[in-house]
Amino acid sequence: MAGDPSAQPPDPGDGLAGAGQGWLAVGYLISGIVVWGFIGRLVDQWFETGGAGAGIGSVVGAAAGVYLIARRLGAA
Amino acid sequence: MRGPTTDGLASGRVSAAQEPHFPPEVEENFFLPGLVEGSFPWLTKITLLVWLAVGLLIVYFLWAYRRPQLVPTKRQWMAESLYGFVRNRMAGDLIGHEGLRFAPYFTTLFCFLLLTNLFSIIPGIQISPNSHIAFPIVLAVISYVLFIWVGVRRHGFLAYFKQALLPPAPWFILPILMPIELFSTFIVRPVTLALRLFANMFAGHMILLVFTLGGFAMLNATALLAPVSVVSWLLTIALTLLEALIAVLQAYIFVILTASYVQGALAEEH
Amino acid sequence: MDLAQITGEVGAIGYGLAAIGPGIGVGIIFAAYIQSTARQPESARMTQPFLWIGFAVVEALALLGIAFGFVFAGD
Repeated sequence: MAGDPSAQPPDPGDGLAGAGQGWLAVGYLISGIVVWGFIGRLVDQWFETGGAGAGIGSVVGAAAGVYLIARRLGAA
Repeated sequence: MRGPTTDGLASGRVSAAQEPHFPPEVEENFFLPGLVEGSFPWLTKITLLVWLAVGLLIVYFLWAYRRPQLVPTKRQWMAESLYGFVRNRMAGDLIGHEGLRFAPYFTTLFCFLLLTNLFSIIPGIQISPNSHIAFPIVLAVISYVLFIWVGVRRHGFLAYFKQALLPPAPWFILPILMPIELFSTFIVRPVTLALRLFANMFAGHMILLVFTLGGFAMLNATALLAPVSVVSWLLTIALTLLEALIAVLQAYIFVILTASYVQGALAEEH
Repeated sequence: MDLAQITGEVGAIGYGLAAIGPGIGVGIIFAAYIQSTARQPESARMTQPFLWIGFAVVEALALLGIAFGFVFAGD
């Protein structure tokens, strides 16, 4: 506020900055949901459980994606 | 190409020389015909534009660097500023000292993308080769092979994949996380690199088409909509400026993401 | 006896409703980050990890909405 001269974007340790981190976060989320949703769907077809497998897989994938983001971009 | 239509009634219809189709279709506006009748269907305006971009870049950098001097001339200074920007701000800041050997490739990539993206707003050309998915795909594949190759060279084949695929996490969660890392690093990265560039260029061209041709369509519909046509064309001008911004931004983002992936491959941690 | 009936693609309406929450949530998160950085710029680097964690958790719900659209439609 009081004329802070170093008004630059924060520089994170792992080389990504700003938009790069955003894309990483979205990438992990989408990858998690797609991968585990797909595996859940395969489980579905094998065990004939209707849509439950894909649903559970998606949720597990979303949780795992959030975990990865917290690990990678969270407080060191 | 037809001239203004005349149909016996004083309807005041105006038609542009090429009989505009509204709404603009993908076939007609993006899949351009071959330039030589009957043969070489691949030799279209797009092909010529890519060759033109390559030729212009080669000629420009050769010309700018004839007889280089210690105190640079204006043309030498411009070329050096361009190279310096990519080398220092992109390769140097992101990757560090070992990134400097990628600076020539990144500069070439950045200049080529900048030029082909700007083709989308240069009068007379008005289409970017990157609005065909093929060209972004090839560039993304090159970046993909680059960062994997660099990682394997640095760490060794198995060690690189171990470093890339195993995040720091307790061992019992790793089986859940590994497919995600695999998908996110080796599938999502190249696909989004190509898709981001293609979608921006395709959508930009489409938007300009819609507003330009929409103006003509409204003019031809009723005389009442003529002022709205003018608004449509003013918006086209504003959107052309936006397209210029997006062209530069997309070239920058492509190169900076490639540099960041190379940096991730070279990283020692995990 | 049915009082009212909706026919057609109800799933699309469902997804539209599901997208409201995360949209507002992400907006609130980034607004908080921008405000806090405006008040005290030195804190920007410290609070950035929380930005991404918060974004991830909220966006996960939005993306699950998209995914479940396909799951429900495929049955």
